[in-house]
Amino acid sequence: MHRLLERQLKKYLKGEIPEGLAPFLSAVDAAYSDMDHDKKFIEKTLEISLKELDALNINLQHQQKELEGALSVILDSIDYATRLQQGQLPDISLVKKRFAELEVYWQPRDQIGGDFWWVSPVSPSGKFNIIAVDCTGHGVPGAMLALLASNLLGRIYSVRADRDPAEVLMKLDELMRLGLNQKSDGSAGNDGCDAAIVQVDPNSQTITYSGCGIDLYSVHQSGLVEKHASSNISLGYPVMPNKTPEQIVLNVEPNQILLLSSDGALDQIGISPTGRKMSLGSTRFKNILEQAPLKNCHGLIEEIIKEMNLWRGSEQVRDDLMILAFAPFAL
Amino acid sequence: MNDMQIKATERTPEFTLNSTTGELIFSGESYPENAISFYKPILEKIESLCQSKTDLLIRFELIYMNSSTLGMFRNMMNMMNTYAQQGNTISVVWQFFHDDDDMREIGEDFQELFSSIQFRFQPIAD
Repeated sequence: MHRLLERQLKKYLKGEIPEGLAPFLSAVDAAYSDMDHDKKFIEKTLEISLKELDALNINLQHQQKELEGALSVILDSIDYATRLQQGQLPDISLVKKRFAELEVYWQPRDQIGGDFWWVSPVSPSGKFNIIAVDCTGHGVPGAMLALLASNLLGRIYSVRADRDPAEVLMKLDELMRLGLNQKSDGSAGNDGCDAAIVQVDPNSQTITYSGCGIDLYSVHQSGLVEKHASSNISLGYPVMPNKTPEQIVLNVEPNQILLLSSDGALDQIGISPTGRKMSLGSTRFKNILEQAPLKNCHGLIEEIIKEMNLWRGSEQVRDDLMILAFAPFAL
Repeated sequence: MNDMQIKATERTPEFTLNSTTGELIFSGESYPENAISFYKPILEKIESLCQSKTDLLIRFELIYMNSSTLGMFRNMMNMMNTYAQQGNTISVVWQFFHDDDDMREIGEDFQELFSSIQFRFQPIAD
């Protein structure tokens, strides 16, 4: 008989079994034994589950350590690459003296990226070029394209330092397509860049602008802002451009500020006044420049970043950011 | 059976393809880390529809696309334009919010590049 039942019989019935209750007690006894058996079974199951959970937990901890290790290797590698990419950009303290004023904002979304700027050597006639390039992609692939494009620019200008901006853009298009082995069906890659070149000619106090996908903004001290639209051409892609970029010559007043921006700031998604997601857009961008309280390079860039972040709110940054602001000529 | 349906993620658009009606829709945002891997199967599917002479209507209902996406769309339209020159009927409905000039311009740039595709612009109110 089950020990618990035995004790209960002793306690309540003094050990005497009333007549006729024997079958009932025998059923209770069987139920007690069954219950014990079930309990043992459940305990055993729980013990096994716990052991499995423990093993899983240890496994997960192990995996997490491995992932953390892998991530740290990747981040270290990107950190290192950031220094290399920054080293590829012009030394602003050296090139600044060619301008009355020059400010550059360069902020890749993922530490390194596809936006870069470049300044050509001064030609024998005194001209030089400031160039903004926005390569496809972000992060490591963007940076690899940027490296290719900046090398190509070096090659192009080493042939002749005073080449026309539109001619340089077409050459960049051709060499980039070759350099990436791009096939016309896009199967071997689909990369390229937008770019704009401003050639500064201190002798005539003029600039020559040509752009493919990067517009030129010109900010006057009066608050007037002009947008010179770029050509609808993307460089280096498998689908070849069916035209050549336009080129304009502008007289630039002293302290007139020129501005080139990659599409990061312009296209940043935010929330419209009516509550839907939309890009900042070139109209609002122009407006920011018009309303900026300080019409100098630093003031304009600060204002763009401030307003872009206000527009963005809690939305993620979508792209690399680069803004070049420069006043080519002093008073 | 030959339809395709891809749910939107944070970085990729929703895509639906109805191979019976020949209607395709891209909507949302597109800035994938690897645009080729996302768009290649879509482009292959579109090409096979073009080869079977299906008339296509592609609706673009995007609010943001990065430059790699733009590149993929350029390839896609280039391919469709070739089929349109051979007699396929290929139409694009380019949707944009009424005040989104930049998105409208992207569509207009495509229209200028690919003259055999029929473009219809569809500004929408808030």
